[in-house]
Amino acid sequence: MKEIWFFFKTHLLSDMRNKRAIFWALIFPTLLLFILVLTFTNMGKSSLNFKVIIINEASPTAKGVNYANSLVKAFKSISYPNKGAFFTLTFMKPDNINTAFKKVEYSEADIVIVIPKTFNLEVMRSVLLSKVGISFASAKINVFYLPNEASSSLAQGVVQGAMDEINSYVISKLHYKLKTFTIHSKTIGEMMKSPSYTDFVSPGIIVMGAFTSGLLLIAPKLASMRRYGIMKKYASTPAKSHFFFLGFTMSKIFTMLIQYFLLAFLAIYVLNSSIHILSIEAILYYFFICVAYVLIGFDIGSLVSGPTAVGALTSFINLPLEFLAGIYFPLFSLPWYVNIFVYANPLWYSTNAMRQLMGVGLSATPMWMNILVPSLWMLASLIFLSTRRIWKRS
Amino acid sequence: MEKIITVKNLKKMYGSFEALKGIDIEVYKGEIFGFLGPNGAGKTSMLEILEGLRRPSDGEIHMFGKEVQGDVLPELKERIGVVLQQTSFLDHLKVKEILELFTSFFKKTLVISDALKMVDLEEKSNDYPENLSGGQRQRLAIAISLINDPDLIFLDEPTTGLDPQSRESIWDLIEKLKSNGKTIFLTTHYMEEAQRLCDRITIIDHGEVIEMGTPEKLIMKYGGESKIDFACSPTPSIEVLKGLSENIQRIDDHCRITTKNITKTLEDIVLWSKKYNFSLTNVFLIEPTLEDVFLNLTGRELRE
Repeated sequence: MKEIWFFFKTHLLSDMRNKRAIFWALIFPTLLLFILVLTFTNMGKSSLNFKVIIINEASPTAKGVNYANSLVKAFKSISYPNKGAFFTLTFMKPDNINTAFKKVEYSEADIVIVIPKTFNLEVMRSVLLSKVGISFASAKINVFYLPNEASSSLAQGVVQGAMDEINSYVISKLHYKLKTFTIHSKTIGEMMKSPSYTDFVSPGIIVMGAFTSGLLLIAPKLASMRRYGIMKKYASTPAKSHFFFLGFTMSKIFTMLIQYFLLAFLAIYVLNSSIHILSIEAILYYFFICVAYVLIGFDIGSLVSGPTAVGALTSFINLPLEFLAGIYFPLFSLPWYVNIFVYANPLWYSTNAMRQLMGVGLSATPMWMNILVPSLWMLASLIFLSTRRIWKRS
Repeated sequence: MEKIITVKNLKKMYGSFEALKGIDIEVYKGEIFGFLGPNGAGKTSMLEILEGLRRPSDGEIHMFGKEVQGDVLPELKERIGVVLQQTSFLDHLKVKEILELFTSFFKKTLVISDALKMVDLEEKSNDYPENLSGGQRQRLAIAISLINDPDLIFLDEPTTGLDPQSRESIWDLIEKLKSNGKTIFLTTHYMEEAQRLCDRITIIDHGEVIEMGTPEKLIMKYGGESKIDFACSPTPSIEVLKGLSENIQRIDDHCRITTKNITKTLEDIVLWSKKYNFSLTNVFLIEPTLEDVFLNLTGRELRE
């Protein structure tokens, strides 16, 4: 066991005294976080496009005039991708109403519009009675929003305005005497948080830092140790190979944990983020992805031994995976062939998972996928590594 | 004498290339055993098999009386020290920290300061290896190999690339280790090194043992004749020189006689110079070396 401790200690010391390692593991992610936050914090604030979730409880296949569908069409006409769109619509089933509320709480949507089951009936009744001059309660739609969140409140106002426009149109064109629709605004409760760009980008930078460290702390080191006979020297002693791998890996993961807390503290105490750094789930998941990335680093270090080749290969892997991980900006509207890489990218799943586990928002991918995909990478790395002769005799 | 290593019919294949073609050697306790050959002869392959870094393709190995099958056993590794051809250390670690790491691999170890004292590096324990000279780095590599107080030390070309002064200090150190009772298995392509240090030598070429024995016996058997170089004034004519010996040739401004009997030839030269009233200057004796042994055995220079 003392071998593991000494392998851990000496490799950690070696890294901590290595300016290059310190730069890539600690300084670079910190700088990147600063630069991104300072550059992009105010971007998009002036946009008047609101993310609206519509839940249509009224039967879409109802006989007669389907007022609910007409209303949805009206919303679609002023939504993305139409010019000057006010809304980006997402449709959800009535069963998912709680998920929709969560999305608003986590600022992934601004409001939820629920068209009630009785909507068609209420409109019909309102129209018929209006024709004969009898005043009756207008049909209601429910709008759920967060009163203490600016964009949600604004969105609620814009929906109210849109409904007034529709009512005016109905009154003037169809000569109805009364408003057909009424908005019933309901609050969802307390907003969970207000995710700023710092909140959005911090978990991604933490994931990126772990991935970069996995590659840049391990691959070049292992390659040079193989090239200059240090691995051979270890192998000529009674030291056990698995003790080396354990001690060596632990020293790298220790550095990655320092990186995690450094970035998280920076995000919270300097950049005013509200991410949950001490979430046990987040820390455990981070440890899990560190192991996966360390194994990828081992693969590269076992594949090539020249410093130029290691540098080229790490850049070749590192850059596209980072750009297709949604670390800096949300990924949407990508061409299908790029999406293939996104769906296979362990960083994308790790970033999604870390955002949810650090309380920034709901993961864009299910949690089981966020565990499965990095696990598959881990397994593939292990299988590949078992075919390489890092320590074994030839 | 106690046998430390016995190797029988050892073969090593790399694909279809046969690097070792049935090597037989025996290494005895307390000796410096030289394994000589040109680059690519198979020295390092042989050494790495004995160190447990490569598997043999065929053959038998016994070390400290135990048969080595498959991997070299950890208890055997406890008793060996290894200095590889490449002398590299983990970056950004001090001398004593590197040694500390290696102490963790063995059950029995020397005190770090004692290991450093043996190689005259005790004052460098807090230095980084990158700040040491080539000779000091090589001595550090030897200190690492000594940390477990081994009975058998493998040295793979320990003085390659070193300046003459550093080489001399490494030779002194190897002799000191021998006097402390260590058995040393040394590979080298420096014949001077082998001649000075080794008790017995095996010469290999193209993966085969071509001769073995003590340096003296090998030189006597295969070294050929000695040479005596001299210059004299005034410069004698060829006819006068031929009167001294038939085996004489003029090389630039001096003469060279090839002889088997050095004493008699030296006497002849002195008498001849007196007879013709020449004054002798710069008389050199060139004795055959292992270089000549290799040349005579293979028909080519060792470092061709």
